[in-house]
Amino acid sequence: MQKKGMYSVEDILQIQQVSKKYWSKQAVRDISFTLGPGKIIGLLGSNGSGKTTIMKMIAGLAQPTSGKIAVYGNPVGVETKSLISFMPDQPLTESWMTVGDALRFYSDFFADFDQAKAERMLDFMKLSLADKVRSLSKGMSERLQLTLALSRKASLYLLDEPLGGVDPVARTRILNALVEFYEEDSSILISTHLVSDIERIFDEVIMVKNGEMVMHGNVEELRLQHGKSMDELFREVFAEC
Amino acid sequence: MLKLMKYDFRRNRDQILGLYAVTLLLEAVIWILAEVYHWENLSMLVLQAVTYFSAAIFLVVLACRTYSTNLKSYGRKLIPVKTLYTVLSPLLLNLILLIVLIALAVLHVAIYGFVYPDILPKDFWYISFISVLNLLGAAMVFLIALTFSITVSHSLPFRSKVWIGILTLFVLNLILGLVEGQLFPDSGGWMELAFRYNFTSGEYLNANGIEAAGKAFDIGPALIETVFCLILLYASTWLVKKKVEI
Repeated sequence: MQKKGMYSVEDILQIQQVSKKYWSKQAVRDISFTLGPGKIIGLLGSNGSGKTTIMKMIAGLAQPTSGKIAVYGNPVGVETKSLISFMPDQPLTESWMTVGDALRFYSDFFADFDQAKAERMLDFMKLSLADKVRSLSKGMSERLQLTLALSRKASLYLLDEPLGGVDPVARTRILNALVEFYEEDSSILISTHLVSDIERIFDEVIMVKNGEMVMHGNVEELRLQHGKSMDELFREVFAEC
Repeated sequence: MLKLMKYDFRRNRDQILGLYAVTLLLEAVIWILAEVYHWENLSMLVLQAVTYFSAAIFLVVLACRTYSTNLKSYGRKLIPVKTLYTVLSPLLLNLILLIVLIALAVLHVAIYGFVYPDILPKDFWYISFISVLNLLGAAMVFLIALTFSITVSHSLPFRSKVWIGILTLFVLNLILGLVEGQLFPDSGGWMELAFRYNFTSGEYLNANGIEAAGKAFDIGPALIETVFCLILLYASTWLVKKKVEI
């Protein structure tokens, strides 16, 4: 395996000493990690801990104040946007669209969009092409956003709070869809604070507290090392937050 | 870029088509009222020109809103297209929509010319063509300045950013006016040239002729405004890439 400094060029994502400041507020402080292929990684932290900011910087929606982010060695830009599929906590669709229009939009702009997979996922998610985006409930909207994000054959999927604000039934459906439709040679970075619902699917976790990375490791190793589930560990780390 | 324009149009399709329909309806109503109540030709033509001009203003406002929405849209910010295209697509769509509006107005005037063969002064079409080109140029300069101002306001992280955007627009117009005034004191920009013409003889609107007062096209100010637009487009693209965050 080739090495480029401390990182392998086979790593999908390299984050090196990244900080982000909004005026006087330090949102992210000196974070470094790498992600290899074929993993589901949990980005865990309480509200306001910097998870969304990290995801936005990786996706190219925000610029780091200092540090470097690269996807397959390329700095974040137009090229990396075609390698990353981001599901933000805000809608990717527009209110005039039907579900079919949303799929066409993705198909028009992303060469890796798999229409057949999208239609299979819609079926799994109990959504129809004719449904109007503005009439979808929160849970159905989350399912559509997940369909759009996972129907691309991207190298890295970023899912920001995919379970936030949805009922337990929709939550189970979203988790099942994640496991069912995820491309095994790619990686998924999922930000959440609802650890108990989702920890079963994680290979690795990264815990972020007050903008700083406080833990990064393999889930099984962390469980053995601490003798606790990820949920218990999360509660312990964020006890005073 | 065409795909971006397609989705910009699709988002506002109902408003755009509605605007064209209402404009045509108003023009027809003004014409009918003028015939029924025997208005002077001048009153009718001024009202009709104001209607077209209002429609054009609405299209410019729509272009600004489209651009502003695009800067805040996750869907738009995540697609792998050049940042310049994000800046250019609402501008070009607006240019096309203005050309369509002008085409409707031309058709309208042509119908007048057919119904009332003596109403149009000699050289009317030539002067109108020059005037429309200058107006389109002026509209694009104004829209590019607006685009830059909107970009500036979106790149700031505090609340009163809208006022900074408005201030930016005023400052830009002031700078452009000062530079043009200093370098070409006897010439005008596109907007000034669009309305600079004389009726050569006869009564108003029954004139025998019409001609451009001075130059129909002024290369100096046009060059200055083109450079000004290129600088603003470059700066807007840089700001969208580096400073506008959502």
